[in-house]
Amino acid sequence: MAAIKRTIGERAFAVFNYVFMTVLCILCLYPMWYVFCAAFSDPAYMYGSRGILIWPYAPYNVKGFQLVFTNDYIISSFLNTLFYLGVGTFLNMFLTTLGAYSLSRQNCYWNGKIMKFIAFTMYFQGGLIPFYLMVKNMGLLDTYSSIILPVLVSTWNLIVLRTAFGAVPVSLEESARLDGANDWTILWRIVFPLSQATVAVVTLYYAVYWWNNWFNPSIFLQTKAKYPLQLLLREILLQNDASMTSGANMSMVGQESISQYKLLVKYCVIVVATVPILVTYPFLQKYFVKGVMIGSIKG
Amino acid sequence: MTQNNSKKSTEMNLLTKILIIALTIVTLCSLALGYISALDQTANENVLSYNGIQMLFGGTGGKSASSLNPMLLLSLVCYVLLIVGIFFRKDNSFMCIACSALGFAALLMFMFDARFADRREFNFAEGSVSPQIGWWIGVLAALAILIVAIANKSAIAAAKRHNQRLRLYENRDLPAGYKDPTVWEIIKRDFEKHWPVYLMVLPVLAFYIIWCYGPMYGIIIAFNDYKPKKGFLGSPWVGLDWYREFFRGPFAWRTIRNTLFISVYNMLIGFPAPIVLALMLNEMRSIAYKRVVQTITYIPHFISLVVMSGLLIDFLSSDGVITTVLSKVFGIPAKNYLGYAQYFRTVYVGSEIWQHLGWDSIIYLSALSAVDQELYEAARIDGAGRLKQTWHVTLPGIAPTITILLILRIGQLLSVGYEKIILIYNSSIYETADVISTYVYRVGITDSKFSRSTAINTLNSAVNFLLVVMANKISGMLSETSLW
Amino acid sequence: MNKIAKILCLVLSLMMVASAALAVESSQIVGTAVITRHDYGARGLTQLPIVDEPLTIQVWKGLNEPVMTSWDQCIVYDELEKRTGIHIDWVYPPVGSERDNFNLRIASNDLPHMFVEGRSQYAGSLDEICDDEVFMDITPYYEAGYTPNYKYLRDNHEDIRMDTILDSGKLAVFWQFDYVGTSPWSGFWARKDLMDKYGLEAPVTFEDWENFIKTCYDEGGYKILIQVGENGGGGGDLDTCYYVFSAFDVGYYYYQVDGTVKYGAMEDGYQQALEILAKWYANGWIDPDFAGYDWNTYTARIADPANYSIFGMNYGEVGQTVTTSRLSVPEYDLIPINGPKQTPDQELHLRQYDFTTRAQWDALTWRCVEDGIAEKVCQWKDYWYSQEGAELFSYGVEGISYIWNDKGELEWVYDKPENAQYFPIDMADETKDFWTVYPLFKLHNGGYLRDSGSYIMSDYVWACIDEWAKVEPTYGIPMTSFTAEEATDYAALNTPIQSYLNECVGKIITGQMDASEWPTVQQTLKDMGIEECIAYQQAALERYNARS
Repeated sequence: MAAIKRTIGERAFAVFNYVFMTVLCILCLYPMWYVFCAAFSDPAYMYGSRGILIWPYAPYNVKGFQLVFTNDYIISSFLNTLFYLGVGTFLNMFLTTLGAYSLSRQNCYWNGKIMKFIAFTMYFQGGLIPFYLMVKNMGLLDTYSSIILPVLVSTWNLIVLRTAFGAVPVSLEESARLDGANDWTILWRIVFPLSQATVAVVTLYYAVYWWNNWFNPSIFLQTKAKYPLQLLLREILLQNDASMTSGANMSMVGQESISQYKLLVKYCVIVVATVPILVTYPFLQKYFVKGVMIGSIKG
Repeated sequence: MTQNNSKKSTEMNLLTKILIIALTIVTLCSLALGYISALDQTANENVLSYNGIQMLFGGTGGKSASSLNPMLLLSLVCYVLLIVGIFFRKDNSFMCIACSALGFAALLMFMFDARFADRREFNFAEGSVSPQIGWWIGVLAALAILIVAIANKSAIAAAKRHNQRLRLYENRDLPAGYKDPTVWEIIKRDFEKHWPVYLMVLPVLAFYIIWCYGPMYGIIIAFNDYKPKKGFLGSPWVGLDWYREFFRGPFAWRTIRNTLFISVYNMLIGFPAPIVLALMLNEMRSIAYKRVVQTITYIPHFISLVVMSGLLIDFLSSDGVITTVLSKVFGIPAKNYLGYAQYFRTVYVGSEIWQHLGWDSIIYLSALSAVDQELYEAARIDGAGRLKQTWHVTLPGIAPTITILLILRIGQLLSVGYEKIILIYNSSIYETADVISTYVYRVGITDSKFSRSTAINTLNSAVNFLLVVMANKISGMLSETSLW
Repeated sequence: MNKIAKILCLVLSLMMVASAALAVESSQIVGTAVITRHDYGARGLTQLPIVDEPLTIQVWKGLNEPVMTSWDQCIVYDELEKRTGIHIDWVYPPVGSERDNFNLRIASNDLPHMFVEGRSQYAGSLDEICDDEVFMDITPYYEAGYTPNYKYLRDNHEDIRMDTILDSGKLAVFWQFDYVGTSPWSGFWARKDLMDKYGLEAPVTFEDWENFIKTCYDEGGYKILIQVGENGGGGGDLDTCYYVFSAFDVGYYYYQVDGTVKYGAMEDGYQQALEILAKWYANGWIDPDFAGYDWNTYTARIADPANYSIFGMNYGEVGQTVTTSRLSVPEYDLIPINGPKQTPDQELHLRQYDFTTRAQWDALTWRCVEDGIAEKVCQWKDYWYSQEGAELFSYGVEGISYIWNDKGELEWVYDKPENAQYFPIDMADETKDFWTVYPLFKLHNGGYLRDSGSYIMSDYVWACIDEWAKVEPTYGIPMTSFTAEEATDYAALNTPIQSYLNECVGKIITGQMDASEWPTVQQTLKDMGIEECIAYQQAALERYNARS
């Protein structure tokens, strides 16, 4: 009797759950869908109306994308972002793992103190000026290193990973020690694989940071050839706005209106900045979910 | 017998007591004398003649010394309390730290107070040795008290732990000739045992020292009028002027209130939302649909700030998508939602949640996956339904993650980033939209007043830091989880 | 002298309008501004090349141009280097972060030799930044004769002389000038096609305005768009709501009547102006979203023919707006109008105020002194103000981008290149102007002794200058300057006042606050120190008037 009742409640909940999730998905998806539609729509139409779009408004066009891709640096900045993302995330993960492992060990005299020392920096920073001077004095201005080195470890991620490492049962570690394993082996053979889910999350956090990174590059880089994609896209966005008001590139898009393209380019830039990550993400998610699964089985 | 020998006192030992009392007296005396001589100085207005006491304690004082400075008063009260406490209480380590820390802080505030002392006196770079040795002796003594008090507290804590251990092993005999290790021995042994761990943390530590602590000297410009040519130490000292200016200004209260409202709303609604989402996702049977939902809810996170703000303005305008839906479906008259102060908080918090809901749930999902499946089995065997399982197994399972994130979140309570607000607000909704950081941006960055913006920023961080320390303490008391 | 200059340029522009108006009755946009050779006076006083040995200096300049990816491509700077022998090592701040970058460089003492267009980045006091040895005060070099052309301009133009000196007697920086002179460049436009359609006249009085707006609103749903406070990229004198206030003889922010500085919000009449705007808003005549528009949205909105019957716009946008709008509304047309008046023959005293000295300067930094090349850099910079320099920056290189024809008129050289990516369209010969040649040769957008006539593209521009200039901005405050101490105190008081005022104005117009509460607002402004601010402005104005 009780069992049946519960099933009804559960069923009702399941139905609610699915309906809720569907609504949520629509809510999350629609603005992006709107942007996609807008990017391919007729600029003259988009220009005048701000109503609801279900499908791109004909005549479809790709002129906005042409405008974005006429930029000479788009390919190099894309490669740069891949470089920053690859090298940066790898170094991030390596150092963060080391730090998180060390700081998650129990009974170490200094760990609590080091943790305080680190957490303090989340709240107090010297500010931009000394930070800039630091990079400058090290001779790193306008180098790839100036982008990667100052953000090797993110305290937030370190704390997240440390919490996960701390949750690995001590018994496993102890038995490994009896087998003669040292800390290095324990980290990479036991703790790291067992926390795979969180490791995956933290990696993802870092990767997304690198994908979206523009502020530090905007301070430290001079050479456009070293710009990451987001900084360049930001420039395109602003540049198109500014130059179109000046009337300078009137001839660039022909006799149709330039102002219309202002909007269009904006939408196209969003698409360019978002599509690569959206396209790759589901593939990554497969591994990511697998990691979560492995973690759950072993944990 | 051995037990008695090694039982440590949890009371403050006599030597420490004497040390603290002596230091406190030095502090009080130097402050009092400095103050008196400052009074002397004000009596003959700006005449730089030093009598004997002034030569020793250097109180050239300053213009407003004749009225007793509240910070100085607070400091004095603290130290008097400290002495009284030491005489009349047994376990006074906490009181000791509290009094000396507060006293020291108040004293520093007093020293930084440029209105009290002549600015030039505190300007190290101008070459002349400050005649205000008296004040500085006071400050050093106060610092020493603080250090002794902290050391005392940790010694007592160590003794307590030690006694606890003895109690645990009460029934066993300790080996003959057992001696309590000294701190140095503990450190040495610890290092011998854990050196690989420390070796591994070394690069991380180096990173923090170079990149986070290296530039920290920059905070000093919050207390001076920073001139690039003169450098960080050479710029004229202004003490707490920037803070005074901020609090005297008409917008201090409003910006603080707005910041608090926005972040409290954001925490009350925005913090549980991803947890609920993660739990609901966890209840979904269809793996494929779950994955689809996950992927889709992450999408908004990838929209950049500039774009997000543009979309918000677009959608919320009087003929935008959201307004259209609201007026067509719910019959609310169409208006520009960003033009009315009463909607701003809803718009801001709502859009924040929309953008980060899915993404923030990732961390909980990963924590959920780490919950032991056997516990669910056990719960099921005990006849627990899904709801009960969630309540008794799932939530405790992810509680450490929630706690840590909550502590971190509390530390952000007084910081609402300016980037997004600056992009979406306008002058007719400042009433609810103007927060500390936007104010700092408008006043500081726009006018290139580096010192002013650093000052308010530092204040902001200090409050946040206090909040996070408190939250951590409370969490450490209630549950076992804490940040450090 | 100032007045004479103004009348002169008025006459000049009137003549140009008249000549252009004859040619284009059909209200087609034709961009043939006839440019004759100006004699700027100063020429050839600097020995060229300036340096014998190659010298490289670092110059900070934002690059926000669609047609070039580096200033090295610009033929103007290329030619400049050929002539002077000084090579420029450009430093670019990222687009959109110019101000951050500028401040960061100053704060960390990482200075180039020159900051270009620093006025957009630096809001503080020039006195202060020169005293702090960040910028180099050019006065000693000016007096020692290293800047003969700049000196010539100052000696021969009273308004330039008065605008380019600080009250402390420092010249501080190099300012930019508009040679053709002063003209209003922002104001109201009304829809000519709607006037024809609904049988309306160009509105003059408030009654006309309300009738006009009401008809357009009722018949076609057209609203009006105003710029208030911080929206629309303006800042006080650029805002078109300024014109509405001017009918009540008050300024939006500070203004002066016969040498006495006043603050609009504290005067009678301000409340009445607000009541009118609030009434319009309540009637639904004003775009309800006006407060939230940033500059880009603003320009995008006004260019949509379905939106507005009256709106404020800079003359730079008019050509594009008309072209764009004619795509959907072929009969689209605009007419410049002045702000509403109380009676038809009321005399207005305020409009967007304009200067020969543009609100833009370039600053040499202290690094020039440290490197011991201050004299050379001054001479080099001064060359920009010579006859050759002015022509170089205004039109490019003679024989390459332009020639002077037999009649002494400027002719742009325009050959459509084979594979020029920026030239997908054929342009009729008569529409050749600066902007068509600009991307081709990568000219310099903006100049130091700028021939602003060369930028003007259409007759609309001439027409609006003519119309708007009917209002004499006698209440305008000239380019005064504060001392270092004043600037700090003034900013501390004025910044909150300004944002509070904008906030209240916004609230009253949108009906969130009643206009009858205005005395309370005035009291608050008083408590915030408006009177001290007025005193600072007054002192600065008196010092300005005492300049000679």
